[in-house]
Amino acid sequence: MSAADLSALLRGEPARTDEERRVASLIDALRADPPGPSATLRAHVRELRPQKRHRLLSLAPRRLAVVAVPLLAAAALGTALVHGLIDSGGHPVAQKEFQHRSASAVGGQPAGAPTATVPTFQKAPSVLGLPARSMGDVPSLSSGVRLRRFVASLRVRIPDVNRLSKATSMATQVARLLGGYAASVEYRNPAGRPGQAFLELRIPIDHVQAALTRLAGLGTLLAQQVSVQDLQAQLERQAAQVVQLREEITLTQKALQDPSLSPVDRIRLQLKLNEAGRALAQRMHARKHTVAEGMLARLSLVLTTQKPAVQAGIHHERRLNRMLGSAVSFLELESTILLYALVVITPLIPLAVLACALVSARRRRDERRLLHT
Amino acid sequence: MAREARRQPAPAKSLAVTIPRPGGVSGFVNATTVGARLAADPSSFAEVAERQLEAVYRYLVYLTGDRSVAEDLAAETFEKALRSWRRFDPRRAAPRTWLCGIARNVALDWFRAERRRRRREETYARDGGESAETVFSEGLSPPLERALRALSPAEREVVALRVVLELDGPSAARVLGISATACSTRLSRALTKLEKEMGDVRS
Repeated sequence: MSAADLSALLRGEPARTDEERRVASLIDALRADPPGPSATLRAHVRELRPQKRHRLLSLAPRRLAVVAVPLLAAAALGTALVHGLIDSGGHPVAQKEFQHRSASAVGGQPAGAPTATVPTFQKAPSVLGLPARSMGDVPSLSSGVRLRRFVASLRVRIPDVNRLSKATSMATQVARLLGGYAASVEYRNPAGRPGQAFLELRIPIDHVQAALTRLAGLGTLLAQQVSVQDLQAQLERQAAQVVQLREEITLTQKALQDPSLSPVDRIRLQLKLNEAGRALAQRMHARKHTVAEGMLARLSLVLTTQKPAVQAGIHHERRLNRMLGSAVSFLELESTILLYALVVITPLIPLAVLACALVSARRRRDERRLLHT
Repeated sequence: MAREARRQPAPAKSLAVTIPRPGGVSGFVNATTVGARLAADPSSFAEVAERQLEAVYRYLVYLTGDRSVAEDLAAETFEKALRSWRRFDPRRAAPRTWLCGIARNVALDWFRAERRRRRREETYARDGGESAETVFSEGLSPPLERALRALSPAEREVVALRVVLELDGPSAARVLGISATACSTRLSRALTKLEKEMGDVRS
């Protein structure tokens, strides 16, 4: 009997052949007075009541995934923005800029007056404590004073272009008066754009603080950066090399005076002497350069006539840019972590699928054994 | 010709639309109405349970061959169904199909437990089959009862689903986890074996 005939009989259609009649009677017999559950079971099932559950927990896994994935994405984005906001608010340069601008907006800073603070100098008292030295003096190793490389940069706002050239001249005068000089001066005053002056000054290390104070007083201090690097160790190393080379030269010269030297040995010693002489000259030149670095501080001064309203806008814009930049960096970090997790997990997915297939096949085999025996 | 014209395959997602037979179970289910009602009203579980209790119980009786075991398993089936009631999607399957699927898993767990118990005790719990007192239905003749007992649980369950519970081919196949074709083949073999067993019993 075909499956269609059997289905027709099950639907109650009349039988046509003897075989179909037999099957139909069998079906009727099976359906006659089927077993019914006991009253106990009926009562038990009637008492079952669904419990109230949170709507989210009662969702099917697929629906939960549809809800959870956007939530997780929104949480990641929100975290990145909050991180960007927090990170952008604590920028030290931005805080200094804001403090200086607010101070200048309230009372203004007269030219030549000391600016609010020069905190970096307060952190480097050893620079202030150096005794006065001239260019020719070399710091004594036993004096207890350390040689340092001092590099600073300032950005000062001048009210208008007319005062820019005057401020530039005053800056070079400050350098001369303090025993230094202007290594380079560049002045720009393009039409329709803020004027700027770029100065490279060399100031004796002992007068650096005075120079910074006076230069900052030329206008409104916008930014300041100071770097102090110890050169004493380098100087001592170079001095030791000079001493060693001098001793080597002395010994070689003494050895050359020996009349019993063979021509080959004499030539060898002569070459060694020449080499030591060249090395000594190099070391002394380097030492001299190190001393010069420690004697004069390098100051980079930028004078600009950029307007304060633009600056304020730039500050907010910079903060927004910092916030967005920080948020994007955080998102990049999150994406990197997610990518690493995917890279680690992806090779395991086929294994997991295979394992599930094996488990499923085993269950089916087990089921066949249970039900077909 | 008339039979062939009527041999139209059932729709892929048809529910158990049947013609009530005398003494049989009326298993008419309207998916649209029930589906909408199920989705809206959590308390409809009680209605569904009340309506499907007999069908699930009969299925378990035929599957396990033991009425007392079927009672226990039916109770467990509805408890499990209650816990997963909110995840039930009436668009994917009819309530009877869904409940029979749960009942089957519960029964399989019972079969596994029985097998472990037998291995521990190294004896069969019921002398290699159902007890002689097992009665699938009071309305069945003794030869039919004995013939049913001679079938394997897999053969009895397909008979229960298609004949007694009157599930259509796709729904029964869904419960069994096999294709509709395999389900039809299994039913056909089961009925043939049933006939043969009845013939042997009579002779």
